[in-house]
Amino acid sequence: MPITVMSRSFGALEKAQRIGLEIAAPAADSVDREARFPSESFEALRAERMLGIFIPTEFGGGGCSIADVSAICTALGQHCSATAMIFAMHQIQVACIVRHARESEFFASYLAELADTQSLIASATSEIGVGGDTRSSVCAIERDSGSFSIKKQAPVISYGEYADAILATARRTPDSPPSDQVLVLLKRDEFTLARTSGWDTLGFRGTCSPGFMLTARATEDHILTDSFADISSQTMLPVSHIVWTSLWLGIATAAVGRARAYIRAEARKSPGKTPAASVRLAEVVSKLQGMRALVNDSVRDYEATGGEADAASGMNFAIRMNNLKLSCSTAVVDIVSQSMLICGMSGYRIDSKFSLGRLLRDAYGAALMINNDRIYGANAAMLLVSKDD
Amino acid sequence: MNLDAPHADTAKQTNSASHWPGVVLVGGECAAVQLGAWPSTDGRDGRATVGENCHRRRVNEFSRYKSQTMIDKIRNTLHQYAHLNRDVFTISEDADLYAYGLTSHATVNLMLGLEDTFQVEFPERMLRRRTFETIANIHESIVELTGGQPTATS
Repeated sequence: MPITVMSRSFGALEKAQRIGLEIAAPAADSVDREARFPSESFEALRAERMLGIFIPTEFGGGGCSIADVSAICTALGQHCSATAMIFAMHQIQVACIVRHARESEFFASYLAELADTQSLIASATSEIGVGGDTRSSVCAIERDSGSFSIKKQAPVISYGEYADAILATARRTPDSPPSDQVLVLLKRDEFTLARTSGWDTLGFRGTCSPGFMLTARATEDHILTDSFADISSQTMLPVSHIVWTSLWLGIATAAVGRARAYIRAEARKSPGKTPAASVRLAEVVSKLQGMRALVNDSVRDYEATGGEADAASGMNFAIRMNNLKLSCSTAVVDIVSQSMLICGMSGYRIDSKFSLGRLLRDAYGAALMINNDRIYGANAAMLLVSKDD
Repeated sequence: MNLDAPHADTAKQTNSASHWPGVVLVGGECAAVQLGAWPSTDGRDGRATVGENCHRRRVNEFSRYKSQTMIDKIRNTLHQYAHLNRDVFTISEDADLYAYGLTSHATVNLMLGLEDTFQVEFPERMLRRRTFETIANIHESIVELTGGQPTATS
């Protein structure tokens, strides 16, 4: 990667690599098995001030670029998918505040507080009754003399019980249509969560994402200035797809790493005889390179918009960012599966250093978080009117 | 659509204009269109108050200066595809259509409808949320695409 990226990240990538290797990796199996919050990883990430890396330096943050954050998500994803996903989701929320509310006095001081306290922000954008469409809300904010209240039935709030704040969507007023939404910040002492379901899933078990009834009351300055429509298309969706695919790239990299180690071990047993599966390894390494290239290209694509609202709200841009998610969510399953074929029974075993079970289970979640069929549907609709680049 | 009938009829009931009050409406919160029931979709028998007649006359005269036919067609297309929670024939040209329930999915259908109605193709640079935010914005884009001709089809 370019030298400029490294110089701006103040060693953040190296810190993430160390935390991943020394703290997240040893805990990953227990986080997965017990479906528990990866508290040791977050203690370490907070200690290294990694939760504030995406906050501009003027607010006391690390001033990292999206390229830095992407590389860090990949580094964490190689060791613990849950740690990487929680870290990634937090950075999405930070990006929304930085890009869409920093002009407000309240949010400027909140960003400084965030950098200082290393608070963790969760997201409550989905809601029971909207069929998975985050651009639609049932609940509305109800204003009352400078304050507002909100009551939201959220089917999932990832790490909700461990978050210091939540960004939630709601209709702008009780009379607003479902698509006219705002995004509001709710701090720990302003909301209550009543758990409505459990989180016993195939993968990403450590994200601790049960359903909740969210009830909150806060002052009106907690409402982000821009409409959620703009926040969603210009920041939340592209940044989500970049950080998610970056950590899936980490999962795929880890799987291929195990396949490579396995083939090397096989080759050493009988020098001069190429192991049968080495051709499959050559193939999967090529697929991994393609996935990495797509992630990096999309990072550059996003950076090229330069935070310009107009460039980031275009249809072709939205289609490309959706394609990033679609391609990588499929690629990660393909790459981990093929690594399993290479490692054979050693990859299938739980008690082997080549074990790929957890990675495969996590990989299957990629196509489901914002279901690929929904995204294909959105792209299909946009392609009816969108023209060539 | 026979949208011309009500206001043609109304025009006879009102005094002919001696000045051009409609001009004051340009670019502003178009009171006439907002307050008046033109064209009526509320099932009334067409009898209008003096105030409404005044509004209708203003709109009628105003139309000669601001390609009202095109605005009519935009409203018709909105009526067909936008699924707003307001009457598209009475909302202001500056009203935020997204606040009235225009979704991104409906926007695509609206674009297709507009492309068909005006026989134009929106270039990629116009495929932005802002382009379809208000009737005035849509009008501006269509004018640009049709080279300022009031309408491409009759």
